[in-house]
Amino acid sequence: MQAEPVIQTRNLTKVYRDFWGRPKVRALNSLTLDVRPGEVFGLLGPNGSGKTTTLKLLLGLLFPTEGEISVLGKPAIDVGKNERIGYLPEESYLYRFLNAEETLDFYGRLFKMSKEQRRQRSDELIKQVGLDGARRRQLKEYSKGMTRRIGLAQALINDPDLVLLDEPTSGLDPIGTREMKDMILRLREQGKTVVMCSHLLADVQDVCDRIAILYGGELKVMGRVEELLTDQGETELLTSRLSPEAVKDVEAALARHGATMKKVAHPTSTLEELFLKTVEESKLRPGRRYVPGGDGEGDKANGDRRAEPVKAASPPVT
Amino acid sequence: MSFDAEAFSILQGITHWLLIFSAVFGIALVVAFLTSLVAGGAAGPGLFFNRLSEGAADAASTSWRRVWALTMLTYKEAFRRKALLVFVVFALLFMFAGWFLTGTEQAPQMQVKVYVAFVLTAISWLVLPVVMLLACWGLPQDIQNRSIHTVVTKPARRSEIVLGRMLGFIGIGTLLLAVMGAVGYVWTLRNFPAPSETLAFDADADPDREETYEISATLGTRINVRIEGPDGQARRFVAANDAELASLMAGRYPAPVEEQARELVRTLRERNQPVLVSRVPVYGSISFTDREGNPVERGINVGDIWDFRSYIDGATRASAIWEFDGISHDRMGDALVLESHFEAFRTHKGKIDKAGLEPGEETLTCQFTLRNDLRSQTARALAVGKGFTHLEPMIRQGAFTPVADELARIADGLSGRKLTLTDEQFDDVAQGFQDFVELLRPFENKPAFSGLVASARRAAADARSAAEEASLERISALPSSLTGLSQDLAAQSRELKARIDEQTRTSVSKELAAGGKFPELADAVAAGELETAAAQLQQLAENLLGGEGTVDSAGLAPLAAGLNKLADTLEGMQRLPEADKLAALAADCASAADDSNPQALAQALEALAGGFRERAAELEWALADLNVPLSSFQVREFKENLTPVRRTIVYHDDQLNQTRTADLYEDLVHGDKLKIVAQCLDPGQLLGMARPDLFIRTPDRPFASGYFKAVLGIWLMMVLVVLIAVTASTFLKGPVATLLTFTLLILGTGFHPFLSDLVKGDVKGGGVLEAAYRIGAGTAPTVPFEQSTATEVIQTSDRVILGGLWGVHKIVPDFNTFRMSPWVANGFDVPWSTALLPGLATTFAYLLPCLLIGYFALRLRELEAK
Repeated sequence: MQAEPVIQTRNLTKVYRDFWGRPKVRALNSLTLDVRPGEVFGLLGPNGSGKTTTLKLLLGLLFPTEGEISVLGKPAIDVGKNERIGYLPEESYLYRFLNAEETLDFYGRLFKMSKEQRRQRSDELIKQVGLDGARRRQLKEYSKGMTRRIGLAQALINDPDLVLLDEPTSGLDPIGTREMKDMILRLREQGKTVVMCSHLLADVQDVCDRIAILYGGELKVMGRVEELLTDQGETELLTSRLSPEAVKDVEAALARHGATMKKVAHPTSTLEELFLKTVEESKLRPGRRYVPGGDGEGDKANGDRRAEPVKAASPPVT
Repeated sequence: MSFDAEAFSILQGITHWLLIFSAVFGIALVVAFLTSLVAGGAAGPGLFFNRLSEGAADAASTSWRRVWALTMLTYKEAFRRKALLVFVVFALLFMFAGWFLTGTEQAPQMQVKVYVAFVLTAISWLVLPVVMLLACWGLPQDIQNRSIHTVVTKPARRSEIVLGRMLGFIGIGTLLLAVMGAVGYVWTLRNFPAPSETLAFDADADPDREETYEISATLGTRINVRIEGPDGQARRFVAANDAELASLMAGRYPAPVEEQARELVRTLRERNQPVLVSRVPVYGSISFTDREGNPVERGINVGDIWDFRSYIDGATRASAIWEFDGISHDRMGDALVLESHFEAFRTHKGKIDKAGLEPGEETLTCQFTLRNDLRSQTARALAVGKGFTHLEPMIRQGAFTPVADELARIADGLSGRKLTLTDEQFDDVAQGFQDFVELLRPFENKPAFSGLVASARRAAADARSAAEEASLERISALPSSLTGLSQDLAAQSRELKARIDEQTRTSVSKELAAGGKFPELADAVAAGELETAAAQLQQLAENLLGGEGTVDSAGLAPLAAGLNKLADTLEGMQRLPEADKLAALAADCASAADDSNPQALAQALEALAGGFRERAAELEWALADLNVPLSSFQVREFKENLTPVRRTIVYHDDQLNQTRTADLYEDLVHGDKLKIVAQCLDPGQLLGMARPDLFIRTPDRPFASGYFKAVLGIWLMMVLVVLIAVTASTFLKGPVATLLTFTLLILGTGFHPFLSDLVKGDVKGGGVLEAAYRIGAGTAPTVPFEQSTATEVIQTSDRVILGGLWGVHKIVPDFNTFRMSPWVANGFDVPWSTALLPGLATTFAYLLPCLLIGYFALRLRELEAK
């Protein structure tokens, strides 16, 4: 038997009105979806497609024009449900005059947490999101990435069962993005339900179990990521390096089976992977730098621009 | 403004609040229900009741932990947004204020007025705008920045957000006020330092022995005396009054040094009237008499447009009579201080501000008389109605035996139906006897001769000490106590003769005669010649002072025994013995007359006549008219006139043509009432008086008492501003919320009195439309409005508009309630019942409505910045 959905919406509609009560924008139109416990659910769509509106309706920040919402078995406007919810807003709308410790302590106070629990949990989260060195700085001095991190920490202060993330990777550098995605996957491992909305498709693809694509306030596609992305009409082979003759043989073999070879190429890494690899290497071997036209290790003919060791006399470039 | 405001009735206030609150809340509910019906159709009522029940559930699950978290957040926000920079402005103001406020030509009281008004106004004008802006912008900024999203998506209730915000801003305001209030207080004190003086006193006449003492005294809220001896060692004595100072110093220094220190304090006090005080006035009710002494409602109108005061004629029987309630020794202490502010109206010229102070200037003399007119009141009570009026001359003479006989005769007349009374006459009689009962009530356990008992005991103690210790110092104290006793004895000899019997006199005489030293005194007492006994005692005092006479210290023991015996006899004596029984008999008469029952009244009158006969002598003394004139004084116009009244007053009785003493609390205060009569003594001059022009000053409170109560008043106002501002910010943006709060502040401060008058119909010229019509038609406001259909429509419409204004008037808070600085600036303490309590009530009245509006405004809106 399937577990009770964590989130359930039925014909959820939101129409924004002007001052005189006249309909202005139909931001969401008859959305019906279920989010199951323990899954990472992605809401995808271009700007203005209704992703954030959906999240705000789920949180009770907006009131639906029509339809029903149930979050953790309670109506969206029930404040009691918030005990088990964590929310990271699109921008980190935190109190900029507080520092990281004060921020987490303040949000911790809003839950039934003792002083000791708050202290322990804050300490743990600050380390987890990598703000240990900036815990006493006021948030107004934080970079955007740091603000997102403290935003995530505040969303997790109460160890929630349901985490709602609005554009979780926006403003983060690739490392931060990767860490955020790792964190989402860890949350899934812990059995939490995560709902995230984003327009960064790669991020969604990496972490989501199921996705829903919204366009113009309407649900267009919903399902498991791998099911939606798999093209059953084509087959992809990945082999070790083939000589041109071997390629011809493969082509001939395919022709015998009535298939055609559409593309032969060397696989490329993603830019994200390249970036992360470079950063990792830099951490392991500090003092190396890229010198244009220098005697680096790479193959210049192929445009390889890897960093080379810095000579002893040269100061390190940071 | 008047410092004689009416006491606030908290019960009436609560009832009034409940009425207004229920009405407004009821209207809001009906409007909300109808709106839900229109907007939601059939589902509307369900939604309406859901919201109400959610509100109740939220209120029930309010967590003070979360409220505190939001309070602290608000506090930190203001703190880190540098709201406390207002202290810099405050400091700058106070650094340079002295330049503009100091005016040496002004009297100290006027300077205090300027300084205190400046301090309290500066504090108000710095704290209120800062707190108002913070409170108006806090929540809207949270909504604008969407920071509130991170709070409302936690389990924080909207009510907790509103409450937390309110408490946070109140906390900031409190901090600002506490610091500014304390700094302002210290600043004011520093500008008016306590008078201080130092003298060097040589205690020894021998020039070879340099025994010089340096004595410093400072008069603040307490007396501070420092004495440095010839050995360089110094001691400090801090006392509340002279007696405490004397007991603190007793025996530590040579007697002349102690006396010199006390003298320095006295001199300092005489030279420096304290300017920083909180006076506590007791106001009375006023009535007037005309030139012939007949009671009138008001004095003479001298044509002053402002008819606040009315005038009494000089050198006639015209007077103003004040009756004060609640006068007791516990409240007032041993001495009373009367403070008066009278205005003169002169029929011949003079320099009004120097009257009587320079030769040739016109004087303006006023005299107060303390009056206890029990006999007149008895006459007014009993000699009323048909058949009773002829009692008046007898009562006025104090002849209570004939009064008793007359009462018995009236009783006969009533029972024999020779005297018949109408119902109205019965009512008059009943009221008269009821008044008499009230007159008798304070006599229960009212002692007689307590002053005499005290002086006899004092003299006996001094005599016994002198006898036992043979101490020179004690003997030196005896003459003064004997003199006091002699005066008291002489003053009350008539009453004593009436009240002590021969047996008592003999037993006292025996004690006095025991040592054989005072035969003449013993004889005089035995014979009941108390004036002679008083003279003997005076003679003895003089002999002791002069070192003459035959009395050695051991021989004083019989004197001590005799005086103690006298004190014992007088100790338990009541001024009117068994007054309760007489009161009960009079009450029976009142009740019988009330029932219009002639037979029962006859019986009751018989019984009362018996009581009168039995107690005729005591009644004559107890129910006496006593007029004790105080020394006359020159009226200083535009300044306060202080008249001290000691507990024991020595005065000249014109009727008896002798000097007598009266005890303030025993002889003049009856129950807890005291009557003071003011008269002008100068012919051709008139003195203007109104109820608040004379008051009794109970012991002054420290300046801090009034000052900090005024700061508390500003605090209450600040709290109310925060409540309104936060409430407005739940449904309005920052600038609009500020505008609304500011408008309410202005409306509630400047226009509330006008709004009040308008609603009450006290404004001439009618309502809004009528006034507009009059302007158009060029009709004066005082001209009666013509009657036509059009004018009727106008007036009806005005009544509707006035109804709306009545609502506005009830809803807009009256910020004038919090204005307490005039009290402090004018040297008064801020009274709880007339100033602070209304302020407290006003603030608390808005707490619940503001919370409700704030909660529902935040609960029913989408928290999206638009």
